[in-house]
Amino acid sequence: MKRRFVPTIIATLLYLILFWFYYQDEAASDGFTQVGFPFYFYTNSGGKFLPGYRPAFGFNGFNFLLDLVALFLMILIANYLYTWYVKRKAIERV
Amino acid sequence: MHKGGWSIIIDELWDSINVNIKLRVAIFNSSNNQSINLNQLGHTVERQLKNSYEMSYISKRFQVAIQKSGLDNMPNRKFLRLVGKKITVKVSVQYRIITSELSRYPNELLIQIRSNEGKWRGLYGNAALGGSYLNLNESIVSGIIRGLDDNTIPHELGHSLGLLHVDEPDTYHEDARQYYPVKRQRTKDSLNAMFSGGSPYMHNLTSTVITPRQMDIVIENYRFGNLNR
Repeated sequence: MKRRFVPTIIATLLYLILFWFYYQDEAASDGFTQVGFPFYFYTNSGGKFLPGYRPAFGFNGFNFLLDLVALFLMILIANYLYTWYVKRKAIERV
Repeated sequence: MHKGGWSIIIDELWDSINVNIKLRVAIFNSSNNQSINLNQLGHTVERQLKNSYEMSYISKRFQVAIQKSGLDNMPNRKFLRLVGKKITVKVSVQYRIITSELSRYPNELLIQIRSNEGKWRGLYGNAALGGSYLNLNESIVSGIIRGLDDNTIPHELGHSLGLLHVDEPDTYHEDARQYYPVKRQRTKDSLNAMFSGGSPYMHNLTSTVITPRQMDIVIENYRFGNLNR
């Protein structure tokens, strides 16, 4: 259980750091507010658009699911690497 | 030489404050449409900026005053006194046309005209908060020059002076003083220049007003070094 807990926490923290790094909050000054990693699942803009050009803003459920899958994959990879590392250490000790 | 195009000179007298806002602009057309008259755009920037930002108002604030006791060993009394000062804001714009982004001086704000493609597709324009550049979409510039859009330039320059959208929920979190409740948006401040693009009150011809409260915020931003970044 302990072996699973440590890499999961590390992977989640890494994901949250990347999530924060990719977050943009510029809607209040005509830029874009975008949330999500690796795909933005929420987009908004306070900018003025020419008629017919205004993109669809708001929540994107599909991108949100993809982000959850990305988080799950990161946790899986971290667990795999951790297990591999522990096994190698055990072999070295023998 | 200071960085960015804004300089604000504040001359404070006992009963009034004179505020001189000076803007140095470099105009650069990087769009595919090279037929835009940039001199006319420079004149328009000056006219629209004067129209929106030149104002005169009474600013009331509390000042610490001392009442002398008049008796030996008795302490003087400090009290707060409400003082009204007349604030007069004047705007001047100095512009020049440049043919390359590299020709811009560090003490100039860059107005760059962009082609209506890629990141700028459909967007009227944008400016960084407290920044020293302004991007304009080529397809709206002729309308601005012809007087069909008196909002975009004062609005974007408002961002470069540190003003936020008055109706955006994010504004409430960033600086609650700049946020207008819905009732205020639809009544006395419905002509404000800083409404977001999605607001029903945003109108190219009529959204041109900058309020004295917003001007106070601009002056404060300049004093605290939040402009020309």
